[in-house]
Amino acid sequence: MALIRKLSNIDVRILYLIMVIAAIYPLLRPIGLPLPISDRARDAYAAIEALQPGDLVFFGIDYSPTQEAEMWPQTLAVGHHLARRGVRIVMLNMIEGAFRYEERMRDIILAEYPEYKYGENIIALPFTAGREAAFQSVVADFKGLYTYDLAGNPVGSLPLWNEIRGASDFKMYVELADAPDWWLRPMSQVPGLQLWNGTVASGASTMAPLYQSGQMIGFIIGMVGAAEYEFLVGKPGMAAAAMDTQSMGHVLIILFVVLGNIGYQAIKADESRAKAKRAARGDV
Amino acid sequence: MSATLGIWLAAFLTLGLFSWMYKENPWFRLVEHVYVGAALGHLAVTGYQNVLDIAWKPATQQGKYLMWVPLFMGVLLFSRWSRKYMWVSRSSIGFLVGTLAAVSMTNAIRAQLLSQVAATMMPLDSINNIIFFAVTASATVYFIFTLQQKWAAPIMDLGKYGMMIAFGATFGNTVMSRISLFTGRLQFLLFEWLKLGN
Repeated sequence: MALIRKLSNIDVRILYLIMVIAAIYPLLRPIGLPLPISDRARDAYAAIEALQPGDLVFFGIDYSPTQEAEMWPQTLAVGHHLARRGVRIVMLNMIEGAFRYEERMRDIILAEYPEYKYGENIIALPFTAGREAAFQSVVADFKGLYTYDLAGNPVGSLPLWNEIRGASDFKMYVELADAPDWWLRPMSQVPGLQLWNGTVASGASTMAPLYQSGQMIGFIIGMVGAAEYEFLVGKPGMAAAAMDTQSMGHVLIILFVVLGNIGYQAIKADESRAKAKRAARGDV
Repeated sequence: MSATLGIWLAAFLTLGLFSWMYKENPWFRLVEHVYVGAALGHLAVTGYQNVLDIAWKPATQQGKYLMWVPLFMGVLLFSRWSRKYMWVSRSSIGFLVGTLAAVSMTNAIRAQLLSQVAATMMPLDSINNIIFFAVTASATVYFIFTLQQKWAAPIMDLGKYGMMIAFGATFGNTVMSRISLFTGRLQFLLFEWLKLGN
């Protein structure tokens, strides 16, 4: 019991240290724990795989730098997949700061896929304020919403822009967002537009019901979703490399929670016994 | 050179935040203030650029005179700095709140309420569907506050336990999300800053 009492008062910094070591070790020396690909990730992959070359796809990138660890690997994996399918991509963002990731992804696609020519089969649009109201404008009057692209070129000078009549020309909306569902409410009004979402793990419970109800055709969650998708597109990257660390971290937290509860119950039982003994002796 | 400086600066800031794990210290507080200041500065610049691109340029250079209306309403918001004229900003705030509420409500009824209700209408031909139906129905019963019948108590309990499991799942996902962020920073420190491994 003395050991349990000592452990229950352990300096929290020791726990932090254990967590840091458990996280760093697998990054430097990968353990290679297996990563089963979930049906959800396979369905998400299949939905994009079903797109035909030339299909118009919205590629929304709506996350701030604080969510980069989870969302950028998703963006890379999904961006590569879209480019491989040869779809026409219109990139847009509705969150302050997300344009940096839009720029990076646009440049990667243009550098690695020679068949992509800016303005002909890929466009990157600038940030638009208003969040849900801005998405509502995409639905109501997409062409009227933008005057310039992300680089400051007049959108009228881009051939792809002139081929588009409105949001209903698009086959799919791929939205990589840090949780909120305000994009889905307006975008689900566009007839025939398939909705596809990648989100952070903490936002999964908000979005999962919308996937289960069939409102979204594809759905991936957090770094795990990114890692699964990296494997599916055959480009294991940062997310896949982080999976050992992720698993070790979870195992440690489960261990701490279990041990903490065992200790708490043991101390409680010991105190009850001591109290009963004192009562029996008439000390109370 | 600038990239290297950026990496060293990012490493300094990251380690400053991690230093809180040891104890609260001036390095952590400095980084905390830099973070808040930088985020607000970024927001201010983005906001300024937005006003310029979305309203000012179209209003002054493209003859879109309707843009003067949001510009004027935006200016009214600054009256909040004066106690005497604070009331002037209320019309702009009312417009903002009203518009957003209207857009959200109309969209939410269709996209979330009706679609979610429709999704619960499923054949009870599998364990998953039965659990789904039972938990949805009982969780809804839990929120009928005027129902104080004894017979309803077990149904409410089922709903309560269903919700507790959902809260647990949400918390689990949040833990996963936080570990992902921690891992991302460690990857940065180890591979981009210290250049260990690949």
